[in-house]
Amino acid sequence: MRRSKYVYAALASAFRRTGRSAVVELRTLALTGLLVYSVAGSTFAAAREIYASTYRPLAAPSVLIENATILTATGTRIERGDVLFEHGKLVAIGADITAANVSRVIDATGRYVTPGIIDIHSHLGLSPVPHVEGNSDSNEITNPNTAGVWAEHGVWPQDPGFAAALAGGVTTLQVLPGSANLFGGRSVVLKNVRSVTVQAMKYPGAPYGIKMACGENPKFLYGSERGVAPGTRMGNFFAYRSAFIAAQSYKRKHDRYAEDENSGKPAAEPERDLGLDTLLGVLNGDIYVHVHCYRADEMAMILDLADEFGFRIAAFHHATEAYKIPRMLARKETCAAMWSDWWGFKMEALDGIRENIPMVDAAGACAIVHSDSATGIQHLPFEAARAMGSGRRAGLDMEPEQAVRWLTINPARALGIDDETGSLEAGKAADLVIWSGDPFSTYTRADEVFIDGVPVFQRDVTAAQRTSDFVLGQLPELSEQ
Amino acid sequence: MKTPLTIAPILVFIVLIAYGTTAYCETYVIHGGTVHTLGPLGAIEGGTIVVEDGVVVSVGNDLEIPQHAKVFDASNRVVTPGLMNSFTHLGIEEVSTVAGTVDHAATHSKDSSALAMHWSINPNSALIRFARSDGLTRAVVAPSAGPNIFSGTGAIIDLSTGNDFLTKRFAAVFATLGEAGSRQSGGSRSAAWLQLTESIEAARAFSDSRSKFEKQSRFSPLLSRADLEALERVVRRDVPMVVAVDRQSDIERVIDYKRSSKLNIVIKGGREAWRVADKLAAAEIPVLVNPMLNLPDNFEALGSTLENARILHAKGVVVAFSGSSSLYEWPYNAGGIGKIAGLAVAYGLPWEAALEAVTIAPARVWGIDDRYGSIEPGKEADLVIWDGDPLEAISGPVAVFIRGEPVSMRSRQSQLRDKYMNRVINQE
Repeated sequence: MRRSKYVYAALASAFRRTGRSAVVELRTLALTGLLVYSVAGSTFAAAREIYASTYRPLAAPSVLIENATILTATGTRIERGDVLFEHGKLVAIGADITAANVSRVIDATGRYVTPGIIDIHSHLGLSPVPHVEGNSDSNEITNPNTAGVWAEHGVWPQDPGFAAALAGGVTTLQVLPGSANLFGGRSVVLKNVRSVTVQAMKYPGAPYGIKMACGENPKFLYGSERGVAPGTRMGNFFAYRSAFIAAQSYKRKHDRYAEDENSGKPAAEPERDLGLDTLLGVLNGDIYVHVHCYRADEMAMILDLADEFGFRIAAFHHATEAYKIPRMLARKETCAAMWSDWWGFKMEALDGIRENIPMVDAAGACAIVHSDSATGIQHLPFEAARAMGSGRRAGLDMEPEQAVRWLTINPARALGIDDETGSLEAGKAADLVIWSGDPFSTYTRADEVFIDGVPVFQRDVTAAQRTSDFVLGQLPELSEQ
Repeated sequence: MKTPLTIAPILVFIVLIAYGTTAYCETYVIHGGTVHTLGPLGAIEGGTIVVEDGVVVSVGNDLEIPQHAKVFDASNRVVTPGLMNSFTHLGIEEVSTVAGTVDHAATHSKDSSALAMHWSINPNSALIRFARSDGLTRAVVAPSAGPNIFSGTGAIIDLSTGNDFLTKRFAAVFATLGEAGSRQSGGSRSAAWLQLTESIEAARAFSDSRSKFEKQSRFSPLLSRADLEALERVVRRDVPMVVAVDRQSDIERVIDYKRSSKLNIVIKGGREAWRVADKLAAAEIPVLVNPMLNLPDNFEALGSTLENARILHAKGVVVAFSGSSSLYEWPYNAGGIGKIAGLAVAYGLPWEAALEAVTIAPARVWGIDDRYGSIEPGKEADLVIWDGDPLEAISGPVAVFIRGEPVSMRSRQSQLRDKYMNRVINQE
């Protein structure tokens, strides 16, 4: 009950400011259909208080980086440029920036600065290394619809993969449940900081995502392996639609309850269902939808599913055939998160091509390089470089200032955190990487990584120190070699 | 009936041309690039390579260009030998989840070492054409771990897709120890070692007195006759035995075993090999390394590091690169071996050593360096002209030659790209 009171109080306060009766306002809005969204949206704002982020950045020094080649991810490249940040925020990016009393000046002559890398598709912590049964938590393969499970409840912060990803410049990542289920569950967006708890890694205010899966995985793992629905792609859609119809009904009940309560009518709070809570968040636009999907025809069907129930797809993941429908993706403002060279391991991945990423980008759609791999996440600029080269040989020249967007602002956008991070612009978080050279050269490595202005990785210093509890005492020392 | 008889020789001639992959008639010259010969001449700026009848006839500066030659201009380009990946499933796996196209793991077969991959290889695989457009010209086609510690016998192919694509029919017998070997042999590393050593002893007995053996029993208690014949190649040192091990202690047992058995042994994986690099160098055991794998993926790989190749090379161990850009040995990115080789350079391996690890080093490991692995007179002309540094992710081939012939850069993937490119360019 406390939760609904909180919701009511929030609404009342919002409308008090407009000087009109909340009840009148609610009724007016109800006619437009907006009411239901705002009420349930607030419900979710309240619900997000649970398992809340406890992330607090350490005191950040003021830093001036000088003479770097800067790829801002806003489409520009600044040669011999400077970056100034303090209190965790970017203050200025440009040429000849002067600042008094900075605690540190870094000469980055010959080096590059980019925003921190964002991996929109990771299973770090859920399927950590070592790959052993006791730590395997990425797929709740007990029901094709597990929309009610949350990734954060299974993430192991001691996964050594986090530190390895940091050495690859990754500052933010979305950890998703696996793709066994049609509805795999809620994702969580994490800052790649060292922590004992998941809560202290959670990106404050980042919207939740839901992981959905198309095609072969669900129909194979349930129909073929277990003899239960879904057994076909038809069955997949039957289950998606049935679930969203249930979510619509759930939404009506909750909206009516909120309305009754607000108008002072006695009402019993509807039964709560964790899976439907998540789908309700989707219908309300609070939860971003991430769909594991390979084939173009299937992506087009999912876009129609989204139209049928009135939600938006934030991104298709893997999307090996995105190059066949780039204009459709652009129109729907749906991103495609792709690999540079993974394809062919199953029928739905058979048409993957190396030019996928540059072709999607060149057609004006939102292209993202993702990893889905504890190895790949360490080398995302390397993956991007392979795509750039393939594009170039096919006549699609991709400049570094454009390609860097695949790794930064585009995933930030698909995660709903692009107001805060993903590009080097004054006022945004100082999430950035100083690279030893051109980040798209295979020979380049991250020299230093900052999250909210805090130096969280320094090559040669941190690489030796920043270890997960797991590897303590059993990781052999390289130093004597 | 007379007419068909008279055209028969013509038909034979046509067929010979169509399939006559040894009947080279062109002379090719590659001129003007930076040529990394991987041979005694080292790197040559503005070098010229003359290719006749499938082999390199001369390489160097200021060579005379034969008049009838077809010239490929490699100015501002880089020329290297064609690359080799030392562990792939090319031609024996088309779509990983379609069982009918997967032949590298006979999970329900009782046979082991005798499972010879050359029987299964499909040179028409779309993945072979794709891999060669990445600059890959040779590959070890190897079995994956099955129910037995011996997985089978691998072959070496070139990627010409011609009907004489086999460089070596029987290249090596593949075995797994460590955690996988333990699973395969009953649940302990000790059981795996017992099975391995007993099998080798049985093969020795078989080889020493074949006729006696055949009189005594048709089958050894452990192995079929066919398996013994496959292992006989190992005990006669005709082929190496490739042993997949990662943990330091397992690697040390392999070193010990090589000393006592005198077999030709190659280590695959070797995640912790850097910890015993000196011993491996002294024992002359080469290591097949995937330069991308650096995580403690299991308890036998706790010491995984991107610096493995650097340390091994520095201590004098022969390193050849294998695998793909993932934990899995997927064939569809087998051609990317040069790209992941570049990562080892980022972590300290000298550039030349990284290129060697995908050319001349595997040629030596697999005993084909008389014909492949460097650009030297007399060797088969596997050549790649690159648009940049071949180990850089952004670079790619502009032309690929296999055994002296330029090969098509078209693949199923390039055709898909071309088919849909207008949707991008014309914004359809």
